[in-house]
Amino acid sequence: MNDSLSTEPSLDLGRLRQAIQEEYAAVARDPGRGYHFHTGRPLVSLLGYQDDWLEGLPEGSIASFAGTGNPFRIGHLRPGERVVDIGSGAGMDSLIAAKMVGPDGQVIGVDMTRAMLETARKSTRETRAGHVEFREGLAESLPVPDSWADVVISNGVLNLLPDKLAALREMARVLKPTGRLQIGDILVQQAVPADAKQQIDLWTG
Amino acid sequence: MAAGFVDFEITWQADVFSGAPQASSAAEFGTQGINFRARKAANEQEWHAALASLACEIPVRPTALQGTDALSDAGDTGESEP
Repeated sequence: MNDSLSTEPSLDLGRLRQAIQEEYAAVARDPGRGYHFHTGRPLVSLLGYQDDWLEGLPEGSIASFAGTGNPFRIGHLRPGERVVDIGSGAGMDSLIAAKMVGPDGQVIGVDMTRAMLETARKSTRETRAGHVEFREGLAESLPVPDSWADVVISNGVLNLLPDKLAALREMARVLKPTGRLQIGDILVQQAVPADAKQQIDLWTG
Repeated sequence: MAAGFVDFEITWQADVFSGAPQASSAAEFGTQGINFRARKAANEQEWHAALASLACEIPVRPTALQGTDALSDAGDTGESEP
């Protein structure tokens, strides 16, 4: 398997997760503060989200959106499908997915940042979408049964995980055979030096 | 192709960090936002077939034919030094 997907050996995973949680808790509580990435409506527009996808979604989930791509541009989700949203943040993508799959489908959003989960759950109550729920958990150990999902989506999360192979294995575990990955993330066109990979502020900024 | 996926494809990429309120290291590394898709293999057979199709090994030659330096540079003809 590809070693470049493995954990950075001397990176303090606990400190990294804490730094990521602090960064994204701030985005949840104060989305307009200004970060090293775009957020909210300007980002949604930049990434090509359609207006009808956002119709009826609570503004709190849109304002704290901080993705890097658009899983729905890859392909629409079908009515009745089961979806897992990894690193669901404030819930915008999960709620769009819930609209697409309709009441016969199900959506599970998973995130490790409690402030984001609170925003997502508040938005879910406001939309009265009974077929979407948010669970606290890690991408490397998803609180989702084996072969449960038709589609796994994620947006701007995989790049924050040192052990990408573990996360991909979890995605494969929760997907049914032939299930789809539709992911927004980032790529770098210049190699990142090994010492830079040990700098936690580079992971979050 | 990792972890049992096939049909990997990057479907879109663009600069999504320029103009962000705070400076970031994104430009330094040519960081771009992407969308990608893949599909979980239907079964082990499909997965192994996909892995096999990635094989890019060069034909194996006996070490003796590679001259004294078996760890030759790319482009080495493998002929013995005179």
